Amino acid sequence: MTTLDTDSKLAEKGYRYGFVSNIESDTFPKGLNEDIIRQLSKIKNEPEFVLEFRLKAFRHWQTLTEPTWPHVEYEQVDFQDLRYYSAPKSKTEKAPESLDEVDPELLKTFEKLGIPLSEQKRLTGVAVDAVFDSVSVATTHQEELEKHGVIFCSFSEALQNHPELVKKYMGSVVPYSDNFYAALNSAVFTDGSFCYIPKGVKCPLELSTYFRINASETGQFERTLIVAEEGSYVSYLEGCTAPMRDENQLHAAVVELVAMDDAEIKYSTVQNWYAGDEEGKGGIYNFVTKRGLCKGRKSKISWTQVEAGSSITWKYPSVILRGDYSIGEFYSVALTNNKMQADTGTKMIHIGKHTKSTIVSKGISADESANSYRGLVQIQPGAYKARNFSQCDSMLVGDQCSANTFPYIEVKNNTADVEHEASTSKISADQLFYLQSRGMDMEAAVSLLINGFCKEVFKELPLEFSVEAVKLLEMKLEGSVG
Amino acid sequence: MSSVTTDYNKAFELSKKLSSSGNTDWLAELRQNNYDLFQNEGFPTVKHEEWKYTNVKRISDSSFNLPEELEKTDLSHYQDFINDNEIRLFFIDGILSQKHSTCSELPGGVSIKPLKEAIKDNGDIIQKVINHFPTESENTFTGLNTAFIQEGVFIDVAAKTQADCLINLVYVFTGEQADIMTFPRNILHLGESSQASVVETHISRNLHCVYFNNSMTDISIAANARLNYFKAQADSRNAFHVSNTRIYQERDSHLESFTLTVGGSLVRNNLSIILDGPGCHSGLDGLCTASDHQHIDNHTSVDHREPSCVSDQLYKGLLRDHGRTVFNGKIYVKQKAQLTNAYQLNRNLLLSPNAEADTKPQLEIYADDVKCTHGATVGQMNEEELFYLQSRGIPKNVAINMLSHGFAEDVLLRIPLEGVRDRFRGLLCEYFLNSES
Repeated sequence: MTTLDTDSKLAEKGYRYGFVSNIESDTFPKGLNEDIIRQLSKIKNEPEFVLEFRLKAFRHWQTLTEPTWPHVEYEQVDFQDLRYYSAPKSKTEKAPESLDEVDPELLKTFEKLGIPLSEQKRLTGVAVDAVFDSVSVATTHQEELEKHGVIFCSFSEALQNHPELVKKYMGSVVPYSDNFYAALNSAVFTDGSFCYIPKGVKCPLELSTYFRINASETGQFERTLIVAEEGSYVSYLEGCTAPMRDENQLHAAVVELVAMDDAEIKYSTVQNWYAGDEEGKGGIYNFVTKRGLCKGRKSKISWTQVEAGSSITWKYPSVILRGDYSIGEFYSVALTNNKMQADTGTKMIHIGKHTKSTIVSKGISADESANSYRGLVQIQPGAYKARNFSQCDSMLVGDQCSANTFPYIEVKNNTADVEHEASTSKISADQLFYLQSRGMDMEAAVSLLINGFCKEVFKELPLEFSVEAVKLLEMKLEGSVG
Repeated sequence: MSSVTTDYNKAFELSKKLSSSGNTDWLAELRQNNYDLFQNEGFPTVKHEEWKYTNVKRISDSSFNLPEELEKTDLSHYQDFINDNEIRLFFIDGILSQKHSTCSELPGGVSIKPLKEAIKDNGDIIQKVINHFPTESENTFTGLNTAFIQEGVFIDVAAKTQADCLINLVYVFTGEQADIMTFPRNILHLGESSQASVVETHISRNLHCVYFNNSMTDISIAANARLNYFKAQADSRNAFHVSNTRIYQERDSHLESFTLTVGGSLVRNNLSIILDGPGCHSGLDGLCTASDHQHIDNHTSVDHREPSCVSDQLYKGLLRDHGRTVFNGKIYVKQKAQLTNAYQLNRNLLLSPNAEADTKPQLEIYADDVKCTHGATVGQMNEEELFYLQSRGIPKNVAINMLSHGFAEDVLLRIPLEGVRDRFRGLLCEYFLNSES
């Protein structure tokens, strides 16, 4: 139980990360065409195959139309009215050798966000890759990771230093033709993180990427690729924030995970992009494609997400269970308030024998928001004895919001066992009364109950994240209750 | 839009001519509008979210004709549907057969007429019933049915009438006419505080005849009335059946419905219910079986518009061979509909490795003080139960049959009338449990 004292409550009201850093940056002109893509590839000094990949994706993207099936309403994005590259100026001439060469304003920004990058202050036990608009600013703890053979760096660095690895895996899980936003991302992706965990290594640190959008009129298109070789283990965290602005900004990322035999990848996200104001003005459009491939036998991929930001969320972290005995997990808490709209869920594609998946989704909608769970469980004909358990619970806070559930279940094998459960309810008046009669105020009681409602998911998060997630929900729900 | 093989234009002109005698202006307009709707929309493709799992290409690629009235028919195979205690209406190849029907001696307060006549006499009630349903709920197949509106019955139960005897509608397909298409349309109107039980059966015991049966039933239940509505679909193994049942419920009305689907090659049942008054109860239960290459699709939709209504759904599917079932259940709870209690469960039992079950239960909720749950399961026979029976000396196939029976019985028991339950159980055995796989 966490009780916030009044002072910090006031300070935290609203969006804490909504500031803009005053950093000179190099940006591309608005618009999207093959020249922009060529220029982007040139500025990043990319190998030839990447440019080809980008162009192929771009040509395919032009043939696609924006999907309209999600249960969200928003103004269409004008893709020609965006800038596809924005990087802090100091970075563009030559990559800084050490943190001393990085613009202090940038370091200050991350410090303000609670992610100190400098040697003395940086977080112990967590290696951070900090991505600012279109480029990665710094990656901490690299030396220590290198000792274990773990590669953890920005995607651009990986393209320079490990092109063969990137070439082998990029697009293998999310092909450029996958969907509208994945195609767009494949054409214009800028930076992101790359991790490679060699055979038999348990990654000694938590790996983490912090995404920050700062420039206006830009979109952020990052790409993350994590490869876990046989018998390895990695836990990866992702966090994101953006300034408060009146216009909407687009964030279209692609995340690909590959797990070989006996490997395990744990991917946790705390998403707190700016969600727009009470009127629903501004905020980030979060259109993300995340997919993991359990390629090897007994591999395991687990997605945990706390979605508390973005004005529109369109996100379905999925697992393709190809290896026999592989396991896929999805734990999600999605909170919407004000006029936020979220359409999120997962896909579990069972291909291998004895594959197992678990889906636990908790949706909380408050104020005038709309929160939808959309998920697919597909048991393919060869998935002998596949097993799935799904549970989607929704909680409504207030009578102007909505909660929807759209599960798709496709079973093509009779030895499979698939269960789906969903419920919708509101905070029980009895429970509230009980807590209040014990002297707890309304808000503390609600936060305790919400915390309990989400417990199953929070316990999957790494400790620091879990604490942060609880605080985040408390902050978001403030003023929605009562 | 896929190409249309049947010459629907020609058929539409013919149907217009046939019904011209009883045609009224409003109906002619309704028919024309719906035909235009069908022309514009064409048959849905799998890209349409509502038809994601059901491809109607086999219907749109086939060619069908309107049926003709048969002079002589042999109903010896359908004796089990003849019971003198029931009000009986027989449709033979889609056309009402006065000879085999008993709608002359009706209990007081109950009026049953061929739709053709009712359109002339009771046009206002029919219009009122049809207008309860929003135009958005219309689709290609409701459009098609309405465009060809002709055969069917109009049942009106006056206020405060308790119609004790079962109203039995039987649609028999003889197989004597090849490749026919029929568009039966029934309109039911229950006055305030009345009560009635209706069973609608579509059956062909000529297992190989091909026809396209696009049926539709519109029901309006006034305040405090109670309706039992059961539907059995036991079409021929080569038949296409698309049915749309729309039910409109007013304050404190009570509905118990059951949909049994055992026949047909490609079947789609749409059941949509609007709860437009507080305190309604709606029970929607269903059982479907799929063997050979049968494709059975059940779509339900319950629209909770007013507070304090209850809806309760249990749909079960039994699958064998290359059978495939689809279930899509939607529950909408509008903002005003506080204190709604909606429950939905879909369970599927796969008896063969090639069977496929797709299920999509969905909830859209805009009110906060509600209790809504849904669940879906797909699984196989419990091995321990099977082992137990086998260890008692019961052969495996018999044991499987017994357990399938048990699985089905659970939902059959929700039919409140014993006579109907027995008849449905009989169809289940005939078409699935006792038939060779």
